[in-house]
Amino acid sequence: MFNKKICVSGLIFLILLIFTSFIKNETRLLEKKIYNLNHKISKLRHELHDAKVEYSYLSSPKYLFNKLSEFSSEKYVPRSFSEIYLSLSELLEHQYQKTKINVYHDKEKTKK
Amino acid sequence: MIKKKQKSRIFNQNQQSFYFKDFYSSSESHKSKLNIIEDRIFILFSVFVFLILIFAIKVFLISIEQPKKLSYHQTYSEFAPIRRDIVDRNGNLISSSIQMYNAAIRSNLVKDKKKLILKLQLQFPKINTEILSNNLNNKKYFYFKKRLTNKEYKKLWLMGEKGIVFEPVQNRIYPHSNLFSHLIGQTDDDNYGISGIEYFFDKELIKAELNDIPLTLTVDLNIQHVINKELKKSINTFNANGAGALLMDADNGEVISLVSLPDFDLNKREKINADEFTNKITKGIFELGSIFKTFTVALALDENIVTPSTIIKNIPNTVKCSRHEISDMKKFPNEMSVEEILIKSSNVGTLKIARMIGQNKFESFIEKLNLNSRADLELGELGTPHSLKWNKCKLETVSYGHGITTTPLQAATAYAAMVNGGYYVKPTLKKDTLLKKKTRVIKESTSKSINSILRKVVTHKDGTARLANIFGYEVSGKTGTSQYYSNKNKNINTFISYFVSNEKKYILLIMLDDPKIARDLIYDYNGFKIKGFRNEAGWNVVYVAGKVIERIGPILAINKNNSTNINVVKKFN
Repeated sequence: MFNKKICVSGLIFLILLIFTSFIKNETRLLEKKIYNLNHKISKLRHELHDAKVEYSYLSSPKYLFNKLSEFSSEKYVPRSFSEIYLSLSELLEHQYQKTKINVYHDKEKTKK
Repeated sequence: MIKKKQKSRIFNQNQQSFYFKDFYSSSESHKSKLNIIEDRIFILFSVFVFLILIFAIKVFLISIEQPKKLSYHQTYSEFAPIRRDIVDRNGNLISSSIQMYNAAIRSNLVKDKKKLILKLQLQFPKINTEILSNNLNNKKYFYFKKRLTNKEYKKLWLMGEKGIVFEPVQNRIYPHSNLFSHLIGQTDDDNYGISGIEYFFDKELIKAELNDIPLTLTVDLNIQHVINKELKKSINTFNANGAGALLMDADNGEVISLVSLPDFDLNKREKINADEFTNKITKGIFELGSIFKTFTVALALDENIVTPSTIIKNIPNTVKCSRHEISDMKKFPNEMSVEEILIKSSNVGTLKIARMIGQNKFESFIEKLNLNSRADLELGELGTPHSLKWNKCKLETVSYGHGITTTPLQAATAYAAMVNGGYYVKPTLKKDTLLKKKTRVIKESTSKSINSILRKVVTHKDGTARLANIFGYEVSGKTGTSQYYSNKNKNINTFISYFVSNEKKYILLIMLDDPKIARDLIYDYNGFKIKGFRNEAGWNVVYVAGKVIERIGPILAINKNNSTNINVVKKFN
C-alpha cells in the first residue's frame, strides 16, 4: 500500500518532529533559567539604582559638612592657591630652586 | 489510492462484459460495501494527513519563531526609569527616578468608614477628617496621599485595610534638595517636566533608547555648594533680600554654577509664587549700572576712537541731558584718561566717550552682545529686557548702565566676550563635545586692552574692586551699583569678575539684592582693618566675590583634566 519512499520520508519527518520537540523543551528550560537570571539582574539593578541615589544623598556636600560639624571639632580651612602644586613638574621645579638658594646661602656662610 | 479505485471499477465493468452476471449480481452489494469502506479509509487517511500537516506546519512555525516572543520578558516587573538621570560634569547624581507609592482608597471596600477615619487620624494627625469623610461617602476611588515615604507606606500597610490601595508610581528625587532648585526645576505627577532643565530637556529625558545614559550638565556640584554657602553667608552679613551668582567658562560658555537665593526644596511640592523666588540670574531684569561702562569703553577702543591712554578733557561735574542731571558720586578731576574713567567709574567721563561713539554704533553693539533681547539658555525661566527706545538722552544714560535693563546672565555672557579674545559664545548648561559657535564682537587687541584696564579696577589704588584682589588668580572686573527699575529705594549691587585658574578663564558674577551696610564686618583694606561704613558694590559684592574666588579657585584648578590629585600637594612655604 505504501511505498518505501513515503515510509522513509515519514520516518524522517517523525524523527525531526521528536527532535524538534526535544530541542523546544531544552529551549524552554534554558529560557526559564534566563528568566530567573533576568529577574535577579533586574532586582540587583533596582538595588544598585537605589544605592546610587542614597550614596549621592549621603555624599552631598551639605550632608558631609553637617556630619563633619557633628562629629569633628576640627576646622577645615580652604587651601589657598599659592599653597598647592598642580603638577609634579611644578613641585620638582620649586624643589630645584629651593636647593639652589640653600646651596648659595651655604656658600655665602662658608665665605664669611 | 484513487488509481486503484478506478482500476477496480474498470474491472467490474469488464466482468459485466464477460457475462459473470450471477457473480456480478451476488457480489454487487458486497463490492459496493467494500467501495464504501475504501472511501472511508481514504477520507480518514486524508484527515490524518491533513492534521499531521497542520501539526507539522505549527511545529515548523514555532521552530523558526524568534526566541523573544517565547521569553518570559513581560512576566516579571522590571524597574525601568521613565526619565533619564541628570548628573553634573563630574558624574554626581543631581536628579533621578525612584519607585514610590500613592495611597488611594476604594470606598466600597471599606466596611467601617468611621473606624477607618479614626485609624488614619491616629497615624496621620494632620489630615483633614472632614474632607476624608466627604470623599469616603461621595467618591468611589480617591487618593489619600501621594508619594508616600517608606515610613508612611509601612504605617498604612500595617493597618491591613482592604480599601486602601497602593499604586506604584515613579517619582523624581533630588538628593541635593535646595542646591539646584532654580536650575533643575520639577516634574508633575505624570512625570513631565514643568520647570527648569526638567522642562527644557523633557523630550530628551523621556527618550527610552537613551534611558541608561544620564544627561550630563556643565554644572559642578561642589562649586555650586561653595558658592551657595558663601552667598547665604553674605545675605546674613549684608542683610540683603536675596542674592545671585553665576560662574561661567569664558571660552566655551559652560555654566559651572548658577545660584539664586532664596531657593526652595525641590522634593517638596509647594506652590511658590512670590517674586523673591524668581531666578535672579536668568529671569530677573535689572538695570545693572556701571558694569555697562566696560562696553562703552570697549566699543570706543574697538572703533579706534580712543586708546586707553587718550585723555578726555573738560569733564564737567554734572551734565544736563534733557530733564536729567547726570553727575558722579565722587568729585573727579576734569581731565582723565579713558583707562582712569573706567577704573574710577566716572559716569560723566563715560558719557563723553559714548557721545564720541554715536548712537548708531552703540545701538548695533548692544544688539551684537544680545543685551536687550531675550536671554538664551537651556531653561524655561528666561527674562526679556524692557524694549529700548533710543529717545533723547538714551545714549548718555545707557553708556553708564542706566535706562537699559538686562538679565545678569546676558551681562556675564557679554563680559565673557570682552575678555576671551573678543568672541561672543552662547552660554550653555548641557555638557557636550560639540564645538561651540563663536561670533567675533570686538578685536583681540581691544579684548587685551579691556583685560588690562579691568585688572587695574581691582589692583589700582583708586579701583572700585580692591577687595577682590586674591593672589594667584589675576582677578579683574567691574562693579555696578544701581537701583531697582521698579523701586528706586532698593539697591542692586553687582560685580562681574574675570579670573584665571590653571590657565582657564572664568567669569564670576555676584549680585546682592538690596544689601545694607555691614557695620560689624571688618575689612582687610590696603593692609588696614576697617569697619564697614559704605554700601556700594565695592564694599559688599566685591568682598563676596573675593571670598568665593578664594574658595573655588583651587577646586577649579584641580579639576583640570591633565592634573591628577596625586600631584596636588601642600607647598612647604
